[in-house]
Amino acid sequence: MTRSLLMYDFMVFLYAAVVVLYFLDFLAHRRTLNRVAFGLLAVVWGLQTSFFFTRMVEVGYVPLVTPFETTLFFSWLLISFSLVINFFYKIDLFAFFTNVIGFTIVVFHLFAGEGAAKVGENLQGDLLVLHITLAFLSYAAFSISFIFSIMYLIQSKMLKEKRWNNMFRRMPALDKLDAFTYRLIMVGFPLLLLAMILGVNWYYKQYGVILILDAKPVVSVLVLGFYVVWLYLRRASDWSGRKLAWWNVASFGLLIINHLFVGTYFSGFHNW
Amino acid sequence: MYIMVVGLNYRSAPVEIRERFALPAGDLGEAIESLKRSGRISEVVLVSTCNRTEIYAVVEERVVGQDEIFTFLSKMSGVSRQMFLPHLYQFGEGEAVRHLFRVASGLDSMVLGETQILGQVRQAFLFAQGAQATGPIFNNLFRRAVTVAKRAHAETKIGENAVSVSYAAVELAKKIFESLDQKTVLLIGAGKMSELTAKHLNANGATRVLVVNRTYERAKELADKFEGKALDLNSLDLALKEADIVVSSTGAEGYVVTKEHVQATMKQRRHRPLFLIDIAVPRDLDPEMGKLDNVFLYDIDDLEGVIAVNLQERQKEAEKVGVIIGEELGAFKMWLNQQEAIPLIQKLREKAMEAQSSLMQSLVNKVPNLSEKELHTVNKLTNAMINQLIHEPIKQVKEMAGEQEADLYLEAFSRIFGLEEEQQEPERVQTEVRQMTAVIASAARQIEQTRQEEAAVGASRILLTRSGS
Repeated sequence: MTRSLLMYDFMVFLYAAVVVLYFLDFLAHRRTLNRVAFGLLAVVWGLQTSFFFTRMVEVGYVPLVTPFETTLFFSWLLISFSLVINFFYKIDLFAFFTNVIGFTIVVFHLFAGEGAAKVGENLQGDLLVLHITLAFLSYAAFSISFIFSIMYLIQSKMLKEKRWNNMFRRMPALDKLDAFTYRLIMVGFPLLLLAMILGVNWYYKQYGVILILDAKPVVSVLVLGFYVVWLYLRRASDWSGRKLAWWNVASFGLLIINHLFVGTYFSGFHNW
Repeated sequence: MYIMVVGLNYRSAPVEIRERFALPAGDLGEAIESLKRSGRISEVVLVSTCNRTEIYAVVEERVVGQDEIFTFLSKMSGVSRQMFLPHLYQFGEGEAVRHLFRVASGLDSMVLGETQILGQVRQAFLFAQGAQATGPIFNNLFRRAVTVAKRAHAETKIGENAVSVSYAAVELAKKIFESLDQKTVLLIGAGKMSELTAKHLNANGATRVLVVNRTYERAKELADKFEGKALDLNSLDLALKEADIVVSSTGAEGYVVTKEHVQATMKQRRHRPLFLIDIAVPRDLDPEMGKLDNVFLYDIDDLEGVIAVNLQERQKEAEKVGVIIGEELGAFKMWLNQQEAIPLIQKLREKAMEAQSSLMQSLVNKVPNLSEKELHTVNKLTNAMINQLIHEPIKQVKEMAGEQEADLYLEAFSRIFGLEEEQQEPERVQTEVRQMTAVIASAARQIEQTRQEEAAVGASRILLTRSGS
């Protein structure tokens, strides 16, 4: 246990350094800072990956069950995404926004974290691991599409208000931000759908009934609905980019509420 | 040896003076020739653009070079010294080099950070080189100047942000559309300014061009330049529906396009963003339309605002370029000093070798009966000793040449080893050569003698051993 936790602390420390570097780059725009931050981020990613496996060996199951484990997995996904997008597309400021979120998640759990809770015997099985993995993959895709929407809103506001500042300069074009939002929702949507189907499946295998009327699946369906509406509006071109961006922000808000509160307070069985 | 620059530019001289000094390309060869003719300028490069005329020269002494250049300037322009002297600037040594680096990287240009000047400087250098007016110093210096400029543009953003209205329009368009390919440009009014803007948009990928004008003929004329389509004023709605980028510059009194107009088309456009540039005064496009969703409207003042911010940005980048210039200046100075160290090292080597060979001579003279093998050994050993002795000073002087106080060190070095230039009169050299030959001849004679003696001794030994057996 101690080994993996020591690694975790070191990772958090490095991650903090990355965010600070990205922040300094955000303020002063220094290419070297950006490169160093990118390199360190890759190290953080490596640490998280090895932490994941070390922990798997220590606890003896795929560590995707406790909130601590899943948030770590989630931040790992965010870092992976930001590394890949940064590497292939070089979208300025994107890495900064993503990692502010990723780091918040990691730190949130460091302070609120109860560490590894005891895992119930019934929460095992390949289907479940797949369900959780897919769900978090979709969360990561939605989170990043949310970041792009936020960037879209900021950029369009600056364009309208004619504020030619440093941030405006570094932001990518509106249609590019919109295109990325679209692609990520296109990725996230089927993943979430698949995760939900697998979840229902697993529950049926475990308990022999199909669970529908529980807060968690109900709100999840609602979240899916939000994204369907978004996709429809986008394809039909009935809404402007700004309105679409706001809609996406709202959808993501619902997703967060679903993840953080619905399970914990309203669901009969799905407490995370 | 002294590097200097004398010149005038848009800041130091008004156009009526500058035009007298602007040199047509055809006269450049003659100008360089006449600067070189006196023999007092060893290397020269002449840079002449509409904004500046500058003469870079390597001369023996500042005063001499300055006089030479002033005479030339006065002759070429027909302006008396008194008239042009107040408009001239002059830099020497490090400052001259720094000035060249600043000019090449666009820091001294009217439009900060422009790149045209780099081509002009390079051209001027290549021309001078072709006319054999440059030597080792300028060949190195101007190559370095090009490097500085390239570094400045690669490592800083000195030339990145638009500083003209039409480029600013393109820059803004690229904040809305990632790529201008497949985008349609609509020109309302066929003025010069909208043509220029369209040209830049076109060069950036927006190949579909529509032109709407009060007179159809003029519209057609402009549309043909971009292989576009000309429409009359009645088809404006249709054109607005298709366009992604609108550039308006009519001479109309009222608004040509109103908010309601655009509002109606936005629905038909299926909410594709619309980017409008109004460069007309009075304005053509109702400013109210800028409040609509997905409509981005900018007038001439907004574009000027972009340019003002961009210039500030370039100003900031100029500081970074200054750092690069500092680095390269240091590197050049080091190179220059090393050039001065090379003849010193050469001299020291020669002197040492001379000492060794004269030592060998006197050895042969004093101890005539040394065998060839012994002589060879002594020669080798003394050579090695000399080399060992001068190895460290040579190593040190190479290093010192690159240091701050290099001039002082080099001077000290040459005094310690007695390497100062001494005027070697031809006669003295000849007597030395004569003496040397005499010494060598006597040495050769002695060697021959010794050999004969040894041969005689050897022969008698053989005889003795034979008779003994």
